[in-house]
Amino acid sequence: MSNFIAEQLSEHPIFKGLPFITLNDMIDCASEKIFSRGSTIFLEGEDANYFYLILSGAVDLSLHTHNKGPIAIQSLHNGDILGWSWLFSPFVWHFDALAREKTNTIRIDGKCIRKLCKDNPELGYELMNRFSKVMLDRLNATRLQLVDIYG
Amino acid sequence: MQLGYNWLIYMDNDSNSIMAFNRHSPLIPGIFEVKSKSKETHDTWSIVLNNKEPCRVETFNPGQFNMLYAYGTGEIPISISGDCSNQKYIVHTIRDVGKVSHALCNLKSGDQVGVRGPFGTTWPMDQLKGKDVVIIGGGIGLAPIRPVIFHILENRDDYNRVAIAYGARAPEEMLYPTQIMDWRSHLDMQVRVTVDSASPKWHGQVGVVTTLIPRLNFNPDNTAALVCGPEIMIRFAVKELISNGINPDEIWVSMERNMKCGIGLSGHCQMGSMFVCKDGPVFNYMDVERYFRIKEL
Repeated sequence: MSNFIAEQLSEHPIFKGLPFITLNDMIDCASEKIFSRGSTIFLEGEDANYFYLILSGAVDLSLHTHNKGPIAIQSLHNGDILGWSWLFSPFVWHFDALAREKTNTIRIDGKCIRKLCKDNPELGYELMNRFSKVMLDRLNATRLQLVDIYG
Repeated sequence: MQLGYNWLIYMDNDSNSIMAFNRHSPLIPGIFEVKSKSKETHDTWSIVLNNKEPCRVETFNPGQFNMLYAYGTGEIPISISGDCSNQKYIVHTIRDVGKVSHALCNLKSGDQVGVRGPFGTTWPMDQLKGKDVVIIGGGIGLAPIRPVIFHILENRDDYNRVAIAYGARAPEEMLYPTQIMDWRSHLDMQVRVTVDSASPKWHGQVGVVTTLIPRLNFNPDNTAALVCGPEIMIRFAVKELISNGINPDEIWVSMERNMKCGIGLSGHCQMGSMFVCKDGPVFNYMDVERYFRIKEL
């Protein structure tokens, strides 16, 4: 199992190229987690203790609205990272995440990673850099959605 | 009054003079009849036109447009959205957004409509042969690019991998949903669809169309991309295509401007040194790239 996780972590763009020792430490923070179709991964307001590397399947981020019910605002797929609220205080989720299909993930303990980053600021800087890139891409995509590019 | 088959001559009461027009002049609309009409979305209709004047049948190709004249209301440019291998009928998909498009969307079977065209450049179907083809459409931008998909399906062996990415605001605003399902059933074609937001009834992708591009399967060294949609969508889609390795020379875009005459005389659709109606609407991206960065052009 840990070999599988090690392989997935070392090949994923968010961790690729990190020193071997660091990756070894991270394996202890990671576990495999499978979500069945339609299951809830997390809900808005819950503690954001984990993030997920999606290996296969699809996850919808959605927002519950009073009059229209849940509205999906973004889909994530294999290769995508799910969740960054574990990085920032107050460490709670801002959206709901639901598995649209059976979804295989590597679940990573945010607290555990935060501790590793605190002990190793160089790792913290590198990871923050990489997560910022993911956030920038998502922010840009969201901005395009706001602009209504299909006019 | 008609003198000879090719000339229309009439007395203009306003100027008290005799006017003569060649029947084949691109400024004279031919009379077409609405054969059928189908609702695509809450504000968009497709009409099938049948030529009433056999002498005016001209060949039309993917990417071209016609000037459609709603009698008594006005004339607007509308892309051909049907299968160009069937030259008997012309299909146009029209969104009801203004006075003329409203009149066109309200035509009924048997009504007549004036048609000038076809005008403009075509998608480079010959240059795409032997390549992977990536087709990006957004909103009503799927309509002008649909003839390409028909052409590829009819000549499938001429092209390598084919990928279609289509984005719409919401599931109910998607054009041709039944046809998209049919395209999806082709095992030799990737078809991905996304919407900006959706209720739980929607089981597809949510997000902007550019997010689909990295997930398409193509060899960037041998890929041509065709992009059609609002200009802002084209800008960001092209950026994403280039960042995924596609050569800018291998990207074609269909531009929209306020076209009036269709033959480069009125100047309404001027874009830099070019006229979109005559030099376009389909351009190689490198020919128009500089205009995307000029505001108010």
